[in-house]
Amino acid sequence: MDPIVLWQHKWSADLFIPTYLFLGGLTGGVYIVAAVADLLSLRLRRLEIVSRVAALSAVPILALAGFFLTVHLGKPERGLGFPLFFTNYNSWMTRGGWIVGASAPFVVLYAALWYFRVFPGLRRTLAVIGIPLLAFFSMYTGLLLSGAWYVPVWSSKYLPTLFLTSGLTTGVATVGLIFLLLWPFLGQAVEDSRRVVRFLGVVVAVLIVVELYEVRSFMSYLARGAPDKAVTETTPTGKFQAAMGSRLAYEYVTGGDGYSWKLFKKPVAEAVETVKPRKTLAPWFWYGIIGIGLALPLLLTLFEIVPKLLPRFSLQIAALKFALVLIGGYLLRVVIVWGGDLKAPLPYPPSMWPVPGLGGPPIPGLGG
Amino acid sequence: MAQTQVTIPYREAGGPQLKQEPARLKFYVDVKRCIECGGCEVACKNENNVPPGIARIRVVTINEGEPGETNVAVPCMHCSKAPCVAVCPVDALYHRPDGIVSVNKETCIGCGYCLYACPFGAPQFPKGSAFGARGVMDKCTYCAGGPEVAFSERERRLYGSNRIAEGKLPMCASVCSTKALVAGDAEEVANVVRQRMAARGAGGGAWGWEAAYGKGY
Repeated sequence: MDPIVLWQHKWSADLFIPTYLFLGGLTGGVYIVAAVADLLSLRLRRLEIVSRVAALSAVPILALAGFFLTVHLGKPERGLGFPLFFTNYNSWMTRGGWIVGASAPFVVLYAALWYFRVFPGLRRTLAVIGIPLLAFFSMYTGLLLSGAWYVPVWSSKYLPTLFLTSGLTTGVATVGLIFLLLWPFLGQAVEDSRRVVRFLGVVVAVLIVVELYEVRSFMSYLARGAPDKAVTETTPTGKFQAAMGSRLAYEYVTGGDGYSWKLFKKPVAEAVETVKPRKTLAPWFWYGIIGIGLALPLLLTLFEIVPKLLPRFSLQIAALKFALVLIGGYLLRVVIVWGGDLKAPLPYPPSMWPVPGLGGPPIPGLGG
Repeated sequence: MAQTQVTIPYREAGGPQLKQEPARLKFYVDVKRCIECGGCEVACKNENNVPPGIARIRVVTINEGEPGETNVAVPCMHCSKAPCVAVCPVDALYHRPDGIVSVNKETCIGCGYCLYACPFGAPQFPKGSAFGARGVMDKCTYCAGGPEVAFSERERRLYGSNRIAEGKLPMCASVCSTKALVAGDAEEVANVVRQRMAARGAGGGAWGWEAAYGKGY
């Protein structure tokens, strides 16, 4: 049977979901930076101020995430009472409610201990306990999406780790950016601050390499059209059509094979039209996530290392790099959430109509 | 909250005990018969007082104006193992004993998880409220009302009519002039499908069948 694809109608204010996923992952990342810096500061004293900045930054970010999470609900007042209302523990949203509920006191208490500069032993204990908890918080944002079986882009295999890595990358970048902004008021020696920024820049670069690898693996997985075993076992039919859906999802997100090269030869809009009649998310993916969010910051770091190409570890370049990483991290959530508009194709009777919205040459496994 | 008081149609299960079990109510969407008259959409809206912006059933046209144009009426398919029921954090979506997937609007928080989980796009959210607020989810009830006292004013206002409690079929299937949309007991519906497949030969299957009904239905 040929499949039919029903596109999800976008609903209003659909930036709220990417925003709270981004801020949720960011909270985890910033907290982990704070905790790790706190533990490292036992040996490297200059990281103490990084930990403090990060710990205090995590609270407003968490509050913002909570705000966007709440206001996107149709009935926010019921969402706020989640311990009473969330009763389906098979749902990742219920589990996530408790993960967020358990993480929030950690973040607030840890920040309070830093703010008042009291009980360093307790603070470091909280840091150690909080690292896995907040890492799970970041991963949860991916697990939440992968709970929807019929969305090929929302892979339970890749999204949780990708969102964790992205949470860490954006977390380090956020701390770096805030550190740069507050630098004059922190009372730290100039050379120490430079070293901190340089250190954070290198950490971001390493994380970017990991994230690039994960994005590549994820997209290759989608392109191969491999069915997800976990999904296969849990879908109502026991036979998930991800083999078709994931290939389609790959084309929807990246524009398909050769798209990136077409971008450099033609205007974006024309290239999109060349690849498919339907608008894809390819410009957001290639220019936004890969270009702005990952490749450019990585290149800036490399150019900083190569003598005489750029000023070595310039603070302005560091700030630009951190800002670009944040933009890319946000666009990653936007693309992944909007990628959810594509549902897995459903079996369709014999007439062999092409999948709506797709024309041109046949797609392997789909016809066309 | 008052519990549901509905009459559930029963069928004889057969066997030595002559045990009675609830019918499993299903839709069958026959894309070979749909002529895109829109009768089901209008009948549904009229019967259930569906608010503006909500389409509990919609007719999707594939390849409009091209050779091979076809139409699919898409209501909630009341899946046996429904993804929407699985992901709903507050159990606002649930299976009735007769297999109908119902929504409790008093419990729904309007998170939209079901919207993305459903392969058919059945969950609907009102649009155009103040500040873009969406309110709670609305979906096809199989004309079976909701978890309120059957035929009450409250049930009528929140969920629409309760034709199942009256022993009738959903309005959309009742008015379908070509019987492209067939509703009823799963076994009866399956018989209709078998007859039509046999008449058409290989490939006369029902769209969305596996996803909606799973194995054995």
